[in-house]
Amino acid sequence: MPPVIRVQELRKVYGDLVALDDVSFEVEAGTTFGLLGPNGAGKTTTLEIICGLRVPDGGRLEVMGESDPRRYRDRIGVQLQATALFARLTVREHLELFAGFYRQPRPIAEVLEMAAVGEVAGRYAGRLSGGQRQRLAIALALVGSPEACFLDEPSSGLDPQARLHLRDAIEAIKGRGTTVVLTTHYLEEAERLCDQVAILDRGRVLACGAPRELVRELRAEHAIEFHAPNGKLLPDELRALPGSTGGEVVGGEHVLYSRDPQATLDALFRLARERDARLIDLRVRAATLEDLYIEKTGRFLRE
Amino acid sequence: MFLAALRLFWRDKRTLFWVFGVPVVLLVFLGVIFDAPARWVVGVVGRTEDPRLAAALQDLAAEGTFVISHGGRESESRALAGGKRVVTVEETRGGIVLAYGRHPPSRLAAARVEEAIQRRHGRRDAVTVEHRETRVGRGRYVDFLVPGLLAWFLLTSGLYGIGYTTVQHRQSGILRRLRATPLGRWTYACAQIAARLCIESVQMGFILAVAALTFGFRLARPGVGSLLATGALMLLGAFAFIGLGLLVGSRARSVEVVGGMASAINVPMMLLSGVFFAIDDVPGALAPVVRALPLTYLSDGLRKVMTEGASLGDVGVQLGVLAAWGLATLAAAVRLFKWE
Repeated sequence: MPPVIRVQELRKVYGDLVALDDVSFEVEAGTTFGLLGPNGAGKTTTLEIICGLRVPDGGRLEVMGESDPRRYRDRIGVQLQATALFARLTVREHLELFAGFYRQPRPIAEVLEMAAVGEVAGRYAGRLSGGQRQRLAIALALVGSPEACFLDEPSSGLDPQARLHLRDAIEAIKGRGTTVVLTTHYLEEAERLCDQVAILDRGRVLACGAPRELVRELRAEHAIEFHAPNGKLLPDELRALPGSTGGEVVGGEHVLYSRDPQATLDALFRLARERDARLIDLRVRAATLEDLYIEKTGRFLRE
Repeated sequence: MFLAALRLFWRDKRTLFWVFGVPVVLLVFLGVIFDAPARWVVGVVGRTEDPRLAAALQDLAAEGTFVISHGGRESESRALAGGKRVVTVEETRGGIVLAYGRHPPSRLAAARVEEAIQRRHGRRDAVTVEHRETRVGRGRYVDFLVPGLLAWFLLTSGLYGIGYTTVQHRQSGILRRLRATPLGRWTYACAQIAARLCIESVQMGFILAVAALTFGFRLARPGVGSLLATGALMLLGAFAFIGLGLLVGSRARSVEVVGGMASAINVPMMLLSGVFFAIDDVPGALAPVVRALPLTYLSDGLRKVMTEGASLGDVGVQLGVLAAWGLATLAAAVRLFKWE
């Protein structure tokens, strides 16, 4: 089966700024695909180009076999980052309005339930809370029974409770075999929800694949994090410790990767005692996508 | 989209006020002010020795149109210059001096004053002339005003209503969101037009009802033909102005820009197209401009039908010009239209 979305060497330039620099990836039908990266990485630009809201300066785009967005608009659903709604239309009226745009609308009752906005169906959009607005925006992306659904930062600005609701909604979409493409800068969320991810940074794809496989490709499966405020431990020395496969200093914090955390920690403590260095906030954990990002860029994702 | 546009309109109380409140207030206000009977003040300078002159002045005062006022030469001539007197009368050794201004009411008043004086000095009628004043229907200012106002409110409603709505949708990002759906620009434009036409037909009916109830406004020749012609003119006029509104709103990014553009169209039309006052002699250079303005055709057409009793066939030119304006502006608007 051919991929639902195929993006090849997409380029977008705003003045001097190269927003997208040869971005390529493919999304398989029925999977959930995450575009990851910090603000300004090019996630939204990529998503909006696919949805036909921006025109790329180069590259090829194919969605469901079509390259002209006008030909597949009826088959996709979109939730934009800044959700513009009619303040004086109710939730239900919004859904009825948008349902009228599509050839095969989904029953309103079903959409209300999927996006968990049933209890505010009669409320004006101008009187919704942030989480409710966001869920309405997602509901509007679902109302046309899309084959592919694009969500831009669906969970940003939501409290933990609202984020759980949202996760259920996305699971519900997935459960119906709809392809989902979402952007996020929450790595845990991406690891939990997405079958495939592409990590973007400054308009380039750093890595692409299934989250677990990407982590497995890391130089190590464990990360040791700590602060050493008096600066007596040098990064090169740390990288040379037994079991260590590499390390970075990011924002004043040491991140040391290790295949054998016990041996590495042992050596680390010995070195600290010799140098009279204090280790603060010491933690050992399993490696994540975040480590992949740090390894590739030397920066934290959220700063 | 059509239904949503209607709902949004109905729920915005401020626009409701502009569409229904303001027209009625303006209609009643102008109708009452300008339909009050004119009071012409005749200034008498100094004392009147001749009893025949005093009697003539009394005749004028008794008629109801004239008010007699007495004063010194200085103050009366100043009052004449300032428009507070239509005529001043002064007895001199050689006879009587009438002073009046250059505008037609003043000259007319002078003729009437002289007539009264001549009569008291013994002038006789050479032939019997019967005077009849038209009191019902035609001839009042309100009957002139209503068609002009209806035309003008179609202009402002289309121009500002559509222009502002479009820009607000663009500014808030709603147009951007709609662009990501299969809704096309033609569909969007047509929904806006249809909703506006509905709103305006209610608006026109409302203003006409108020005019009928407060001023007894009636069609010159009541009947299906007149109603049909009125409806056709209003429909095409509304269409032309909605097209202008869409054009104004097609690219502008802020409400301020649209407001400026709409006023640049509205104010000259309001002044030049004879909405509030008849403009019979436009200076030569402006004549072609006035002849091209859609508002001229709509208010002229409406007046012909409503107050002169013209039929649908008599206003064919007006209908044609309005339709052409509508089609041209709509085509340009859809072509220039930007979602963002």
